[in-house]
Amino acid sequence: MTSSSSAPVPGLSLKRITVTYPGHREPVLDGLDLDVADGRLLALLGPSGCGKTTTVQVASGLLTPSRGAVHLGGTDVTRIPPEHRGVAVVFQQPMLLPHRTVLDNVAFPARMRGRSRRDARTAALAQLERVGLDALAARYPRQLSGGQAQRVALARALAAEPAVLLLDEPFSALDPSLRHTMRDLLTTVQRELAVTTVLVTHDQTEAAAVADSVALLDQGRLLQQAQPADLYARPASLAVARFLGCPTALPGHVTPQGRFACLLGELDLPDTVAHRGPGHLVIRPEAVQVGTGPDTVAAVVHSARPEGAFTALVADTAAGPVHVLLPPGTSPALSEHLRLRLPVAHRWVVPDRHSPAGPPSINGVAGPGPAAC
Amino acid sequence: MLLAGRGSLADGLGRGWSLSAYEGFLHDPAFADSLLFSLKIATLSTTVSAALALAVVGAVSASRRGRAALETAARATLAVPHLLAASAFGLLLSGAGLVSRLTHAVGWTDGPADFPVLVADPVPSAVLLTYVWKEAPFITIMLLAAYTPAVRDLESAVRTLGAGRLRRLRHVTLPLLAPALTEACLLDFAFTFAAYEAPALLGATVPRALPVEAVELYRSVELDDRPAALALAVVIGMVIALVALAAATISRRLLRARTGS
Repeated sequence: MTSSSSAPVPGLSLKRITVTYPGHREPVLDGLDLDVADGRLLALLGPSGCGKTTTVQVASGLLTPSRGAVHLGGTDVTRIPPEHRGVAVVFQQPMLLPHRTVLDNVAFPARMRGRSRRDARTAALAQLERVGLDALAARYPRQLSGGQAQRVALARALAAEPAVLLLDEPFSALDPSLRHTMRDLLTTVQRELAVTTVLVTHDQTEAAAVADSVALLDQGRLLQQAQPADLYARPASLAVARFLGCPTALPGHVTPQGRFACLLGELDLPDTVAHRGPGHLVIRPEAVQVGTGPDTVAAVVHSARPEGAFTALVADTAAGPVHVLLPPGTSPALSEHLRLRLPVAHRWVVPDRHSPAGPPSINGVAGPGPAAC
Repeated sequence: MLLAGRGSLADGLGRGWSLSAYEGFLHDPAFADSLLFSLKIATLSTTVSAALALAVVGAVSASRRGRAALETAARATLAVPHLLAASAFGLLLSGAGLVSRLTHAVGWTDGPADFPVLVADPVPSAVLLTYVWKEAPFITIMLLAAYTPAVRDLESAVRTLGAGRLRRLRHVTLPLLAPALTEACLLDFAFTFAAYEAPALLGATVPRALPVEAVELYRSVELDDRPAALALAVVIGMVIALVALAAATISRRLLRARTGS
């Protein structure tokens, strides 16, 4: 596992959190460690059922972990109830009080802190202006669209002046264009207020678009936490690579000279690959190109399907299937022989000790490629 | 109600038209006493039942098992007929009843005469206790039905905004359960205002609850009392209709507050 290096003081820190629900043998969270740097935005990414929402509940205090501790700004808050913890949550549903106006919903946290109705409403109006909804202050929640309601929910969470803001898939029920708008709004507000934020999502594009760092969760464990670009370029395991849309994994090993030996021959690796020994070479589909020349490998088209304007191609090589995302205008036929260029700068080797999966099956191809490329 | 209305405006044999039964109420202080007595029983028992039901629902709100146990207990109480409940409270609370004998046995009282009068007293303690025992579970079941996961999710959400237990009750639980509570209280009031068994078995001779008075008049050997008995039934119906109207207005306002329409 790699870790983001720019984490001076954790705003939120989960230490060895284990949660097992009654009646379940397997823990939902299994010794989870997670640090969010103060004032930064972490995206918690993972498939459905991996423990993302449970993590939010533990961090907010709505769920007490079986083991482990939650620290806010260095202070242990594990036993502090949610109402006194200073962690606000925006849920998947807006969770607005249906019997209160938008303004009074946003004024609610300030009222709970004992501020007068007038002061709370003044502060609420400022938060509504921040999310661009001050004109709708007098409306009731049922008079709002889904996107408007989530913006009100965000304004209400900000009105709580939280030490940590947790967002549990708040945009998942919105249409794509609205999600983009909400992402931009979240990024702007988060940068402006510098509030420590955790955004739970199963959308890797969303995570990469807004987060300072991304933590990938699977089966209650942290697979990797890194900056988005690092996560894509240098996945720590095959599970991470596959989740991030990089299914190509060619088995082999890294020689002491820093080259990757596999059934394609010896392939050059970038200097960033420090690993030596058995592993899988991974390369993102969009980095692979169809071409000619000595730096290419032979392949046979196994399948091709349209993916938007692009074509998602699977081509069998001597070392295993390679996934390619071809730009518009190129669409090879099935069983067609072609040559693929695997740019050195985009190659990465995942050490085998992190790989729970076996090597991918190798379908028949027309002989090995060049001895070295 | 129409038949009762017609009968109340006729003579004892159901002939002719006359307001004499209603005019008689205006000059009969016992009628006002009975009306106030019935209103007191219905209002007090409904208020106490509602408060108790809210308290227990609030107390077990966080626990799924607690809610299930409460619902089971409430359903078990609902299965007991009112007549049986009133008889049981009579046996328990009368001067020679079980509680009186127990308090005597442990030395708290010197005998039945020393035990407070709870049955057949102008202060309708036994009637109220019977109704609260029967109606609080009814209101509890109505509240539990309205206490949906959506309400509990909202309670959780406002916890993260700084709302403690009492504030959640005040700002979330109560407003969201208010429509169900209003309906349950209306049904409870209507029943306890019009019910005969408990005040007949456990109430005093004077004042008598309106339904008891109506039944007694209806059973009277004097046929001339029958229009008054039916007029009392009409009065009972009118009071319940007025309360239903008030409840409907409150419900409409609550709905308007929730929908903003």
